[in-house]
Amino acid sequence: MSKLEKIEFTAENLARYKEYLTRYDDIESALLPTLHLAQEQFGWLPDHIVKYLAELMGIPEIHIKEVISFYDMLYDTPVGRNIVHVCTNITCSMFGGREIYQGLLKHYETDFLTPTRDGRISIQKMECLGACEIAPCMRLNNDFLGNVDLQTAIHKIDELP
Amino acid sequence: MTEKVKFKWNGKEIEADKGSNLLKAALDNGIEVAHYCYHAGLSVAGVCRMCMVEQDGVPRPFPACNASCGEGIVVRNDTPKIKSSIEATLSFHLLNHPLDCPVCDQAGECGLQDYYMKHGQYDSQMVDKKVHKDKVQDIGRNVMLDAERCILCSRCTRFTEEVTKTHELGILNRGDHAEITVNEKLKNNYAQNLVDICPVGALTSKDFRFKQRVWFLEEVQTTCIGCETGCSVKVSENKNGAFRVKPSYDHEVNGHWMCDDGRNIYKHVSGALRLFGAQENLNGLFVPVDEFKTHQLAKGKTLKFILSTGLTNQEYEKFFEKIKGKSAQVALYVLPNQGEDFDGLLTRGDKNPNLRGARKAFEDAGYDSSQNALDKLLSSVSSNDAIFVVVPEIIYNEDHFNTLISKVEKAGLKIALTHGETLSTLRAFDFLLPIPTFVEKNGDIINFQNKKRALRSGISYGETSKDVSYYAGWVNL
Repeated sequence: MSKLEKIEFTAENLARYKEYLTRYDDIESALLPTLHLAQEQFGWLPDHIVKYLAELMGIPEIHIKEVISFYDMLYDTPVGRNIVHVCTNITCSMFGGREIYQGLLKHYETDFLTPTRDGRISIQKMECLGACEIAPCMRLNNDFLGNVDLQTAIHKIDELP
Repeated sequence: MTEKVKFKWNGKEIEADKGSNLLKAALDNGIEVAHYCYHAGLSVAGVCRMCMVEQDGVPRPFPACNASCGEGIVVRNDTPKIKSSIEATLSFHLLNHPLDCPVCDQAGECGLQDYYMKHGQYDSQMVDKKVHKDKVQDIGRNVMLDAERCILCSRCTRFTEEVTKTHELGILNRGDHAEITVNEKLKNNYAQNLVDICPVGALTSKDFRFKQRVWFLEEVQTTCIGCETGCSVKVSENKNGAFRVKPSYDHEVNGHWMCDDGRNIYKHVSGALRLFGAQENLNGLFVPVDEFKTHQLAKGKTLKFILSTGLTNQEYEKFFEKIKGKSAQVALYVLPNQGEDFDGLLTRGDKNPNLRGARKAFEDAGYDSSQNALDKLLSSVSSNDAIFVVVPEIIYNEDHFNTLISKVEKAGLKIALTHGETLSTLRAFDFLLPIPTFVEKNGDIINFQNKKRALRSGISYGETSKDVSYYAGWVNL
C-alpha cells in the first residue's frame, strides 16, 4: 500500500467505528476496538494509518503508538495474511508448546512475526492464550486449535488461505 | 485566602494550605524527600514510588506526592519500614541503569546519584544481564536521548502533554523494554526544559554535552534578555566561560520554564569575539588602540548617542546624569518585532529586554525615545559629528540593524559601543569601545508586566569597567 494512496475506513467499517463511539463515555476507550478494526482492514498499523486514526479520533499520534506497542496483538510491523499464535506459557510449554513453536519457525523458514515469503502466515509466540485444558494450544487467526503436535499444526496451517 | 492547616512531618510542624500537595509542602519547608516523578510544574503521576510516607492511622505507606495536607495529620518518612521501601524501590530503578556516571553530563546534579548515596544498597543483587537500549538518539531541538539511563518517571511526556501540548513524547513498549520515544522529532520551542526536568541523564542538551562538569560551574541568578518577557534564569559559568542558561522558578513571570531561544543568550558573553579594550578599524581589521586616541578625535565634535534597549535602568539614569545640561543628542534604537507577538507560553515578539525602562529614563531626562527622534538624529548626521551606537547584545534581525549602520556612515567619527565584534557590518565603524554584557553588570530591567527584574554580575570575560555613562562623560570636552 503506497503512502500516497488515500487511507480511510470503508463505509461499513466507518459505521462500525461510529457504533464503537456510542459504547463509551470518552473517545480514548474506543481506541482499542478501533485499532482492531483498522488492523482487520489494513493488516497492520504503519505510521500513516496511525496518522489517519489520530486525525479521525482526535487523539495524539504518540498515544496511539503507545497503545499499539503495549499490546502484542496490535502490529506495527508488516505481518502475513494469517496469524498463528503459539502458546508458550507454562502449561503449554510442559506439553511441548515451545518445541512446536521452534518447529514451525524451522518448517516455514521464518522468524518471530516475520511473514513467510509468500506473505501467507506470520508465527508469533504468545503468553497464555487461556486454554490450558487443551494444552499445547494454538490460535489460527480467530480459531483455537488444541492438543496439537507439530505435524497436525503444519497440516492445519497449510489449509489456511 | 485559603485555609491553613498544621501537620507534623517527622516531628516537625509544618503549615500549609489545606488540600495542597503533601510532598510540595514538605519540599517548600526545606525537608529533603527523595522523588523523581513529582515536579511542581506538572501533574502528579505517582510512578516513581520514592516519596513514600507513613501516616498515623493509615495502615500502609503511600506516596506523599499523591496526598494532600490535612489538619493535624502526623506523617513520617524516617521509619525503618519507609527506609527499606525506598531502598527496594531504588534498586528497581537501577536495575537496567548503565551506571555510566563518569561519562554522563548529569553527574553531579543527578537524582539517581544523590539518592544512591543515601539509600543505595551498594551490593548488586542482580544476576541477569541489563537490558540495553539506544544510547545516542537525536530527538530534535538540541535534545539528546539516552534511553538506557531513563527511569521512566514520565516527567518529559507530561511536559509535552501539559505544558507545550505538542504531544511528541511517549513511552513505547512494555516492562523493561519500555522506553521514551519521540514521534517524529521534537518541534516545540520549549524542548530544552526537558533536559532540566529529567532527574537523570537520559535527556541531555546537545549544546552543553561534554563541555563542562557541573561541579566546576557557578550559577549567577539573573534575568533573560532574549525578549521583553524577562524570565528569571541562572547562568552557569566559570573562569573558562559561560556554558548554559537554565530557568529559575519565578512565580510571577516564567514559572518553572524558559524558551529555547533564551538558552542561547549566553553565547556572546565569553568567546573569541569579546573586546578587552578599545579597537581601531584599520582598513577593515580591528586592532587594539589606546582609548585616549578615540577620546582626542571626539573632542570638538557634536556627540550623538544611539542607545539600545538592553541597558539597565541604572545605566540609563547615570548616562542622562552625565549629559545633563550638555549639548548631546540622544535617540533610542528599538529592535523590531520578531515572529508572533506572543506564543501563548513565554516567548514574546518584542525582543527589547528593557524598552519600558528606556522609555521612562528618556522621558524623565526630557529626551524623546520615539522612532521620529531616531530618524531626525540620523538625517542630521554630518561630518562634524561623533556618533556612538550602542550595539544590542542579542540581534535577531541583523538586516534591520545594518540599515541603521548604513545611515550613520556620513558621521565624521563612528564609534560602536559593543561587547565584541559580533557582526561583520561593524566594520563600518571607526572604533569599537567595550561595554559589559548582561551577566557582568548589576541593575534592574523592567519586563513586559512593568515589573522590575534584576541583572546580577558574575565573572568578567572582557573589559567591563566602562559602561555607557563612562563614554557619556566625553561630551563637551
